[in-house]
Amino acid sequence: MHKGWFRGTAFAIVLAVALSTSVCAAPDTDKTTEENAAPTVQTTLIPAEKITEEKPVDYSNYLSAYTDLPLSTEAVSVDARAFETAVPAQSVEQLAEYQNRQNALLLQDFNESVTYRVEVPVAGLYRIAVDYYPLNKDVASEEVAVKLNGVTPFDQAGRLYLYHDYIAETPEPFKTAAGDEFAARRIVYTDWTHCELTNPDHDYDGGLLFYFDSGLNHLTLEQAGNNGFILGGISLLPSAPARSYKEYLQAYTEGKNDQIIQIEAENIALQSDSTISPASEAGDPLCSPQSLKKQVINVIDESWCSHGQWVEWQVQAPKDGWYQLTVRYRQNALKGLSVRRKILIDGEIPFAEAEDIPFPYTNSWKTITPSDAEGNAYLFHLTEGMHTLRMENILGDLAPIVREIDDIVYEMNNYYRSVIMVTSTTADKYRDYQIDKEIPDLVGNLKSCADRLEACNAKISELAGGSTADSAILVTAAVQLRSMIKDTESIPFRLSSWQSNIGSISSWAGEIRIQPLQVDYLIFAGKDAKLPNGKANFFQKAKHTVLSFFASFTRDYNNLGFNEDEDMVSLDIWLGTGRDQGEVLWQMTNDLFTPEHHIGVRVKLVSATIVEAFLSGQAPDLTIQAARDIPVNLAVRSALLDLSSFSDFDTVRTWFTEDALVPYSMQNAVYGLPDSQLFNMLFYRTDIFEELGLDVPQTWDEFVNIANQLHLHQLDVGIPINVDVSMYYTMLMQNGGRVFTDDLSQTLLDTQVSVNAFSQWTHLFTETGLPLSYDLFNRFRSGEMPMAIAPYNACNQITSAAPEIRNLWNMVEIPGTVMPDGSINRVQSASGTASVILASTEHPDEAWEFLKWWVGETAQIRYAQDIESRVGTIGRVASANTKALASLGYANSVKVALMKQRESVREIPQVPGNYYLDRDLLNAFRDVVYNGRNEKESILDYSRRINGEILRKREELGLG
Amino acid sequence: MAKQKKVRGRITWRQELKQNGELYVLMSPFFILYFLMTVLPVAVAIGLSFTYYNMLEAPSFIGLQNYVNLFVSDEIFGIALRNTLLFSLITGPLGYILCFILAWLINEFGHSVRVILTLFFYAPSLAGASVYFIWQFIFSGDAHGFINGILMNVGLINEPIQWLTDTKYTFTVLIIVQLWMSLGTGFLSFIAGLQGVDVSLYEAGSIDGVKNRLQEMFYITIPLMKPQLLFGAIMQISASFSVSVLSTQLFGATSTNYSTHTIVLHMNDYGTVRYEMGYACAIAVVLFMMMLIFKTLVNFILRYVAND
Repeated sequence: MHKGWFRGTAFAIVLAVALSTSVCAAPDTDKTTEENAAPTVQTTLIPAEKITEEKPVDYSNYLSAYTDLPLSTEAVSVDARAFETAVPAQSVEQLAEYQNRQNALLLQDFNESVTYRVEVPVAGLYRIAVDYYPLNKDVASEEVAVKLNGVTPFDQAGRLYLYHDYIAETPEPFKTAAGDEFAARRIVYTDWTHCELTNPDHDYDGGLLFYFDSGLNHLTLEQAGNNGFILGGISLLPSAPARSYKEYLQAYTEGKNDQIIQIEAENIALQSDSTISPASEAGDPLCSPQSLKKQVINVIDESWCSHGQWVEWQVQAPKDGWYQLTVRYRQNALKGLSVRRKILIDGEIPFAEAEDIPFPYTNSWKTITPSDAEGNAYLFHLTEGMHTLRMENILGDLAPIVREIDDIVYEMNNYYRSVIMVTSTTADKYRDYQIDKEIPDLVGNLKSCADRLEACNAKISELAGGSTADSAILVTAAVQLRSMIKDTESIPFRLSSWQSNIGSISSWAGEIRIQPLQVDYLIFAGKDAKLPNGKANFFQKAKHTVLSFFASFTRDYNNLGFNEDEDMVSLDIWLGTGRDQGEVLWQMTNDLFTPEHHIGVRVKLVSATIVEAFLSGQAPDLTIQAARDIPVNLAVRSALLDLSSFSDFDTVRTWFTEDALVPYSMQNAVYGLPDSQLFNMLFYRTDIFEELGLDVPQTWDEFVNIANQLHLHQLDVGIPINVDVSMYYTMLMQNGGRVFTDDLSQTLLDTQVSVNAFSQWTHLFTETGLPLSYDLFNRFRSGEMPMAIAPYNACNQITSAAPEIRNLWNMVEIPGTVMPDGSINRVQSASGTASVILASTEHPDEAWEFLKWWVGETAQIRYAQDIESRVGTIGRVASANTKALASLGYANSVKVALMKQRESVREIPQVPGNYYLDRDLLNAFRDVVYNGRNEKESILDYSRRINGEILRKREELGLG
Repeated sequence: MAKQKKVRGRITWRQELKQNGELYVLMSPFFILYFLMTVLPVAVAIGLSFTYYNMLEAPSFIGLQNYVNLFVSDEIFGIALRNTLLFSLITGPLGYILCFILAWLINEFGHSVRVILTLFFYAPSLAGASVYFIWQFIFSGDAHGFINGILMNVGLINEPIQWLTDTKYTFTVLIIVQLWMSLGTGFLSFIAGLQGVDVSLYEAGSIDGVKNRLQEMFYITIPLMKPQLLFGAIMQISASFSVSVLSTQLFGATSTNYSTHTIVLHMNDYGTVRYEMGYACAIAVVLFMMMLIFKTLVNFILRYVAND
């Protein structure tokens, strides 16, 4: 199987190479069908210079204005209650004392702000730190904005984050009945938190620097989110670097020290992020602790990888003295490069060199003792007692390179766009576009891009101590640019490979930012102490491998069992989504559900359909996250329990919107409760809209209008299509139509309003010319498609995988239809999954208890958080629960739009036989768009077929 | 297998067992599996084809109603039947001939080249599910799709062609991809067959008056390769009759207007989407009969050719 796959892949590569050579050869082959397109020079509406404009007021520009100024050395602290003005004055609540801290302020609502008078002794750059107390434990950060003397000093200051700290919920890892360990859950540390304001773009190490004049300054802190927090004080921190190691050594006296303090990395005291996770490493014989038979938590895994993430451990020093630090680690992600960590002891950088400690590439676990250039280990002075050791993820020397690459990618995308605005993505081969005349700056700009790319590559090679194959893409792109400059006429025909090179650079820049460091243990050892061996030799490894192999026969990896208890009823729950989801659910049930309800839960990961299970008598008690069509289709064949028969169903019902249960109901009975819900949003590129002077479309007329304007510039617009007919339902419902009759026995696709909606939908393709097939992510990031309607979870991918366009796009409500009263109707349908109870269950009441718990607020919030902390932003769930959705880490403005659009969602009922609906709607659509059939004829024809099938199914099932 | 089972003369069961008992023992592992995995399901399917069965409730007997519906009122079955026959008639023989020619050509190369080329052409049948992704990419309807990109660059088309959803192209695309994928087992068995031909026969042939390579092929190679040819033919036909995953992967669960709908797809549609297992079984029985007839036919033709 695997071999076959491998050979297949190899073959695929050969095939792809063969085909791609034919692509390169292709332009010369054809001379037959060429349209006589008059070579009129197309007029670009925007002058080319405007396109290449700099990014607006960026932090890097701000900093460059202050390079010559002396760095500050003294800290200034500001009392929270000693503000000069507060806006709005009455709503900022003053607290004399809060949680053992005098003088605090409650910043509750969006846009509330306080302004302080700050006396600064010496002019210079200062970092800003905020002491606050988080009130909402369900979010990962607070959003704030900072103004200096009434103005936002740079772009990033308008959206800063106070990141919450996290701790383990229980000190010990979580244990299964079999003794396997799982990392304890991470929860927000609710106490006074000291948070330095850092660059949200994560391309500068350390805190943001703000320039303060000497004397009186006004500092404004504004609440930019919706979660209230308590402000305890603000401090301006000096920006001058810490003392050098030499000075540090002289500050304390020397003495004999043979103490050893070993800290297991998995025993984290405090961490910056819920995603940093202790894990189990079974492959190395020396990882401590170690067990062959059970899974033990013994390391921190690659999850500690993003810029700015830190981990803090507690160190109990037995006596005063000098200690050297030894870390047992593995860094096998960045070949040839080192990942970097900043070391803080008791919250302070002990000496300047500790600001950047490299951890070189190593394929196997080993120990490292940070040391100076001569190889002498750095010594850290610890006094007797408890200390904290914090290691923070920094980019170090990579930071300027990463910034430069982001900049180049952004610019290249602009140049690319400026070219396709002249030539379109499919250039006419027989036309000389005179690109160099049309866009006079292009050659110069491309040349500078090529130079900069080469410079970046040189720097990377230098860092890696020689050449590294990983940055080859930079050279490739530079070579391509040079060859394009040489032969500008070829540019229009090399667009797609240019674009793919830009994409590759961008993903390379994304990958190199990920700096994972796996840590097994840390040791503070006196100079005279003997260190344990950190690297396993061949025999140790061989022995370990053989023993693990035999131990694997007795271990059960797939059963997510529960702590058995004889009196307890146990439920079987099926989940088809994935292993991460299964583990999260199982851990949740163990933490929350089983202790409270005394009902055991066995989570099983299954890919088989529920029907097959039913057939073989192996059906579970519940199945969760089931596809949308499952509940009604199973229910109509009496395989599901009617949930409305439970006595407290009416209370449960109120947890959802009236509409949310519609797809899972049939004839006044409800067979499923929603767990996820997904709907469309409008995505657009703010930079391109600004450049072309376009406004966000509110209605479909405006949408079409903008699409036409973008087409003039050879840019495209996308709406969901291919197998997605949601836009038809949107058009239908916005025009006041419905899909089914009241008794759900027939569709209403043959009504006039449906015909109109269908025409409106198909016209977007036949008349406006929207593409029928496209890759949203790539086109949106390159700017080729600056506007698109897409399911809202597309924003997770754009956020996490396209860093070069962060802050340059937005997600808003979809366009609507103007109603007679002037309001805009933005109604649309949704998709989603549901959880159901099987009729064959022996424990209906317990199953109902579980179902209530699972779709409830607590479990859904917890699930959403745990999934995100496991798989990251890209796997963010589309929870159907309002509170859970609100707890997700979307920026405030996005969240507001999302919630608003969510109110306009109208669910479409599911009926037996409605698989025919989407199927034949697509057929009708394709008949019109491909074959040019009359819209009315087409929809009427196919609606007869749909109605026929629904009628047939109703007769078969003996309905009404 | 067939020979083994035949009871000879008037020997009783008991005698037979005494005489050939160890053969039955040796045969039993395969036979038990074969019975459980093939014979029994076919029998059950035939039984279920006379019932209404929605998989969740007990089946109820409805006589020939499923067959009546299938042949009288199911127009999509007509499309599926036509597609399947057309598809088998085109890809079956074409793929078969292609396999043979390729095998013959490759066999002419030296050892190392032959090994590499064999692997190369055997890849389609090893590749499994990953190939669909590649073909989707090649036939993507996106303007940046592979074929669309080439055609638009060349200037043959201005708008991207929706290869996978436009009924004008879907069936052709299906045939092309299936032809590529069918270069697998049949091809390999042909290579083995060609390798197995005794070289001295060619020498003898040339002494007896064989003048060219074509004569060599028709008078020596093909007759000697009869078993492999038969095997290849059966593989090709059953492969082209049972094409379904390919179509679902390329064109979706049901292609536009059922343009690439095959009998197996129709069966899946009824079995898994519409929960009408009885009806699906009736379709399966029809398919089973069709394949039986075709295989007998092929067997007959090949026997005729070989005896000629």
